Amino acid sequence: MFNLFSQNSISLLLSPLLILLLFTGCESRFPKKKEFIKSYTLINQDSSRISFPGYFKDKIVVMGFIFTNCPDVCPITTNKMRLIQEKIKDEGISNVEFAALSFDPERDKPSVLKEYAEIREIDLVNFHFFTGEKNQIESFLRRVNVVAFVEDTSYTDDGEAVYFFAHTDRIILIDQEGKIRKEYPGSQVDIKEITEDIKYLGG
Amino acid sequence: MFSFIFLLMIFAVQQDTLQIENAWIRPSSKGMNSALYFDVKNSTDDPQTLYKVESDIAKLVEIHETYKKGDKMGMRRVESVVIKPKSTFRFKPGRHHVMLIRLKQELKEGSEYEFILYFKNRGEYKIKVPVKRTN
Repeated sequence: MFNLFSQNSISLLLSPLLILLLFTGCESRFPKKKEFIKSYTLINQDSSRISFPGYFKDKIVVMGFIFTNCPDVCPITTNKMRLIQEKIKDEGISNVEFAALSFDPERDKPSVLKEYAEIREIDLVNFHFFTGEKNQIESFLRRVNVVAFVEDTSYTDDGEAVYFFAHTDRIILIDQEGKIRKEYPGSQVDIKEITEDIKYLGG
Repeated sequence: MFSFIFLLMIFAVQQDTLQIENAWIRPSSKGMNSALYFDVKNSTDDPQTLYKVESDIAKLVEIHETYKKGDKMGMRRVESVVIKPKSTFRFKPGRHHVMLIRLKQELKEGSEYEFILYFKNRGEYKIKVPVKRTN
């Protein structure tokens, strides 16, 4: 007679449930899955051209969006990324790269990005700062749904217009296949949450 | 008796002061921008208005606030900031800050710079501020 409560039958009943829970758990952790449908040419802080996302194949990427003339929000986002980088290193995870993309390519030349990184003592071993041709950056931003537009401008006595952007405050998590899996508020990202997400992706 | 009067005097002074605390500046490169942050502790019975900040380290020194609209962040200049009586106003990252535009020199961690804060009806407050990389 079939014993409904025998150990084997309970296992049989629970297995599909566990599989379902595993998948729904993954979906709730990563509700988004967006691909880059083409490659983008980006230029790093050393003036090297790279093809994104191919350059980071098989790596998990934490990407933030900044402009170096920003005195307040973008340094917070950059610092958050630095703290995530430190945490990941402390946890012994080695397949994660960090990328800060400037949405101000006219002013953020590679040398400017390099200086921005150096003054903040950022470890550039797996942390990259990117700029690029204006059309490439604009196309990239559209794909990741990041908006940046000039809003506030101050004028120095010698007539320079120093402009500041209003922009989407965002960090994105990209998996080993180059797919965007999750978005976070850049300057307020929860370091514990993103670290757990990185581990969940296999970091 | 003398000690008691002295303590009363200290108490009276503390009741009527404006204190600038926890000031710091972000590190940044020459020619770039930075921000000054601090707390203003208003122990007086009146609102106090900060309307200007001066420093030689930047071409422009302006009071700004960072605002959030949906998932976007932006900054805008403000003419002044009013600190309510018996309260502390924090100029802090992601909120109000003093913007240092086009720095005349590199701001390295550990160095200190002088700023003058101007309050309506209270005059000038000179402060020395360290450059810090905070977490």
